Amino acid sequence: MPARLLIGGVAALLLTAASATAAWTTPAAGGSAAARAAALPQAGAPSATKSGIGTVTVSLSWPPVPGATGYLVARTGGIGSLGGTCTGTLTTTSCSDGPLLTLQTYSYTVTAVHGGWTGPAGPATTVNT
Amino acid sequence: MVAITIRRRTLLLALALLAVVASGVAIAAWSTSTSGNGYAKATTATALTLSDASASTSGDLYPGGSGDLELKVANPNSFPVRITAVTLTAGGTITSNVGACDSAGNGVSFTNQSGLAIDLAANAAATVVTLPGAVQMSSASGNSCQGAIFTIPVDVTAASN
Repeated sequence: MPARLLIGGVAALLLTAASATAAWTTPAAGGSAAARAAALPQAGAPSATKSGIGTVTVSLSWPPVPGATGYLVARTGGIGSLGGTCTGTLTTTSCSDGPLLTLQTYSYTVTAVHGGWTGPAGPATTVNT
Repeated sequence: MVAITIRRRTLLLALALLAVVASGVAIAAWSTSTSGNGYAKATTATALTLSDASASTSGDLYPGGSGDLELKVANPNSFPVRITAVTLTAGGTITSNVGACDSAGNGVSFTNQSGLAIDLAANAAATVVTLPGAVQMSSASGNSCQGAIFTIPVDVTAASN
């Protein structure tokens, strides 16, 4: 008989605990959440140094851009097209363009990229060879 | 004379009985009781309310990466609740505030979140809740999606806490 009483008491306690921890579920709340895409910032102007006589090489470097996974270098002016290690998508923050003709004026800009995104082109740096 | 005495005794006895009965009635009136139903009404659980959280977004989504989901949620209930799950609304479509981004396929998706333990106090005003890394952007996301704000239809599940 005492054992039955004990079992009954434990069962009652368990039932009480179960009812105390039962939670009410609120109706599902529908609405909108938000997320925002990043935007690539404008790259800085590259610094440029030239070297060589007769044929010139221009070495460029620029500060890293937050969020960028690569960089595109563009050149305007002068004769010929961009060359050296500055072609294609670069994963570094420096490159060298050459060989270049003397007595020319070249302008360089850098653009940050990330996947299919491209940021705004940075300000140009002009080099006279 | 004897008859008069007997009548007087009878009368006194009758008066005494009447007094006892009367007092019994009075006592019965003091101790009266009744039975019936009393009523108490349990409160009902109300859905949480969601409002625009776009101002709280940080701009952390890149192609091929993941970013945070921002929820702005209030608890209108008079008891505290715990958010346990956030899921994309069935049939819901993620859109942005840039038409060109959506028309090209914004590449944004949401991973349903379960097993959460985000507590809101009773009658909590709108609070921003962040779910880190819950939103993904595919590498195919177009250039026009830069800086776009994405609206993600979700259902929030919560229980009293």
